[in-house]
Amino acid sequence: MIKLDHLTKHFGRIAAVDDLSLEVRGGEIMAFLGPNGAGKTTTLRMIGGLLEPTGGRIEVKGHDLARSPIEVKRIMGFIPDRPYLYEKLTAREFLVFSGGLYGVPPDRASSRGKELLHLFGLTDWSDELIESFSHGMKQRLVMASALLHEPEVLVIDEPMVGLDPRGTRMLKNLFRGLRDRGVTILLSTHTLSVAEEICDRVAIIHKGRLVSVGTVEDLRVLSHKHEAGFEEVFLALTSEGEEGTAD
Amino acid sequence: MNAGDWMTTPRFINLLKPKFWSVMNRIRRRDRTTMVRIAVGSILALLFWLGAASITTRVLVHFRSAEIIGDLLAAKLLAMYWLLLLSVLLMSGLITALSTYFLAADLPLLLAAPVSVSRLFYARLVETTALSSWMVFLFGLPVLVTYGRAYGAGLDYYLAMVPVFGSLILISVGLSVIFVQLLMRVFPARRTRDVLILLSLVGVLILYFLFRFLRPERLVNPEAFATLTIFVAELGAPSSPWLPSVWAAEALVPLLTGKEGTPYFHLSLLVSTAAAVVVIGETLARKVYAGGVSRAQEGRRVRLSGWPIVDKLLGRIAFAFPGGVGLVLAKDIRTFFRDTLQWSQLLLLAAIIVVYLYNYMVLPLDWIGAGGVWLMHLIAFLNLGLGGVVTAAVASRFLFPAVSQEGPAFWILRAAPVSLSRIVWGKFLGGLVPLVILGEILAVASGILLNVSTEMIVLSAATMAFLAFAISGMAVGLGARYPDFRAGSIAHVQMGYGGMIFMLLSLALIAVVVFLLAWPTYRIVLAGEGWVPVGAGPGALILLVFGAAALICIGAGVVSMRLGIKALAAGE
Repeated sequence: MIKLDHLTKHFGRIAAVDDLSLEVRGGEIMAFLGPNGAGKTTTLRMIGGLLEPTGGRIEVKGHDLARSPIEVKRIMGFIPDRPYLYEKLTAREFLVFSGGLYGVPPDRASSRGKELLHLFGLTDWSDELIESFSHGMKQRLVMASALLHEPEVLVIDEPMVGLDPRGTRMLKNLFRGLRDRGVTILLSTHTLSVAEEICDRVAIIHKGRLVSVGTVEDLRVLSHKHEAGFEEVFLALTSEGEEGTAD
Repeated sequence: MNAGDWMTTPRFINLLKPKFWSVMNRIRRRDRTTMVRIAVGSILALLFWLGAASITTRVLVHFRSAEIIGDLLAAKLLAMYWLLLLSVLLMSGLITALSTYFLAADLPLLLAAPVSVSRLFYARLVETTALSSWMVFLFGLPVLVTYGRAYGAGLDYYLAMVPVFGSLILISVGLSVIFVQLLMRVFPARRTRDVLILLSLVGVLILYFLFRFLRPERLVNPEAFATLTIFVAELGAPSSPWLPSVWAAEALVPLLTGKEGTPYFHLSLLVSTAAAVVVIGETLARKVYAGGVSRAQEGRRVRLSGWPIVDKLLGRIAFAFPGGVGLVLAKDIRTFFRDTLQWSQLLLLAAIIVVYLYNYMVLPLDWIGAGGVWLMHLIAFLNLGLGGVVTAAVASRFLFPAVSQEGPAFWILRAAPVSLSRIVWGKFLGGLVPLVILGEILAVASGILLNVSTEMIVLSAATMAFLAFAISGMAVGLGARYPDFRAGSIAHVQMGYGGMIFMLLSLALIAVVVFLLAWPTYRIVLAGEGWVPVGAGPGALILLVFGAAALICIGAGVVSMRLGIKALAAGE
């Protein structure tokens, strides 16, 4: 469903993403892991159409993102790591606005927006300005807006940041439910338990390059840590050239 | 606070270090925007100083020519000037204090740290003083130095200026901080900010109107001068002994003129009052600041555009234009009217239009005599340029930041299946309509006030429409070419590198268009007055020149838009 083909992104002389090739299959949840500065956010922002690659190709459901950005974006929901929103709009107005951008008629946006606000526990806040929302509430609102147009592909950067345990649990169930309905999800996270719990496969990048990809079991085998916890597996796979490692 | 607090909490100087370091880092790294800002700011300041010094010298020479009351007039003018400075300082102090004490982004960090209220109070006082008092140096110094030179004042006059300035600044900033703290007891911060912005703006408007309606141009008219001197003498600046501005004048005038007075008494009055205001401010802060900061974090309800009828209307706009254009337009309207800092600028704009047209109403038509018709047409023609400049200034404030205003939320549009090109053209159209209306008001109304021919009015209106098109395109296009999505305020966007480029290019365009149209307009006016018919040959040339001017305008607008859209699409 999502195909990255020799994807590269340079910022000046630094290669943030370096010749990355990866495929996310339709209807699966893939976790995109890596240490800080590995290039996760850059990759996701390129898939979301926010950054232009220096080289390589991104394909979503057979559409080349560079050639058909509108078609790709229409079937995709993108959720960034920092949920900057229009602070002077209310939650309800934002959902109608966002739905409109994705071609959802206002009546539908309004009714579905109501359901989503309820789902994300924001009903009481629907007519409040976003500027008075906490980080977690903004995160929930961005999720709601990304689901409004019922996307086939969800690209999410750090979905659990700022969420309370109830919100985290709700989100995990939501992702599972979406996958069961055929939605493809690519999410980056530092919460390894989330990756282990709900993701079908895991891709690990380090210094812009793909280190490994497979199920959690595959990665255990690859790292020769058959009995270890996933955290140890992750550290083993991303230890090369790391500064300041404790062991 | 107990004595232990002073030992354990960071010194207030430490609290200022991040600000100082940030400024130094920007200068050291020679960031382009900062350098341009410093260069342009220095040139403007220098020009202003020279202008202010020259005007003050002329006024003082005029006043001193009126024997007996000359010095009295000069002293009164100085007292009025101090009052003006005090009012400006109070107004800017109010807004700055609210922002530094209650809304600053670094407050959570500082409040979470073991920093005592007193230290935070003093650190913010220094910051507020620095931020709100630079204009006093800009506006105050040249006038005072000119006074000193005109009267041949001694060193004691110049030395006394330092504590006088310093105390006046501290008094006004201190009073602002006290007032803001008290306001925070009544309103939540964001509402307080709105109230203060409106108060300040109304204050500025009153000063602006007062100054304009005093018709200072009469100073250069010898006949009017006699009545004006009487007027100034009778007007008399408020001379209440309670006003610090009066103390400032009383401290400086004797040192200036060498006449009898109590300069050092008034100087000590200023200094001790400044100290008292600061101490009162700090005591108040220890009692009410914590509660105020807490209220500052409260949200506010939606007003005006949350009403069902407005909601319905904006809903119609949102879906009236395809491709997300209407949605973005409706969103821009909502956010514009929910931000007091933005919509209140409309009041300022209205004031500018009123004063602009008032200038034409009070033109001394009776002085002009026989060459009147010519002069009226010449003024009406030059008014095109002036109207163009006003339109460009308005575009720089409202249209240039249109793309940057998306701010960090710009990712929403980039991630959405909408064409950026259409969105930017939508912003252009949203800005073009009001800008054309403004330009036409300026061109047509001033034409009517000047009593020029219909041909001249039609010509002005047509030229202004093309200029407005070009200026809108350049503003939105260059705004997209040089966006600043992280700017703290619209003023930052406007004053940045791209904003300067926009202003310079639009001024150049206006100059080219006015230059091109000078000859055809001359011929049309001649024909209109029945003096020289246009004739076929010149007629064709006139059409050609008009066509060229129109093409230049359309080209400037369209090319800027394309440049902007291309850069925005490629931008990261």
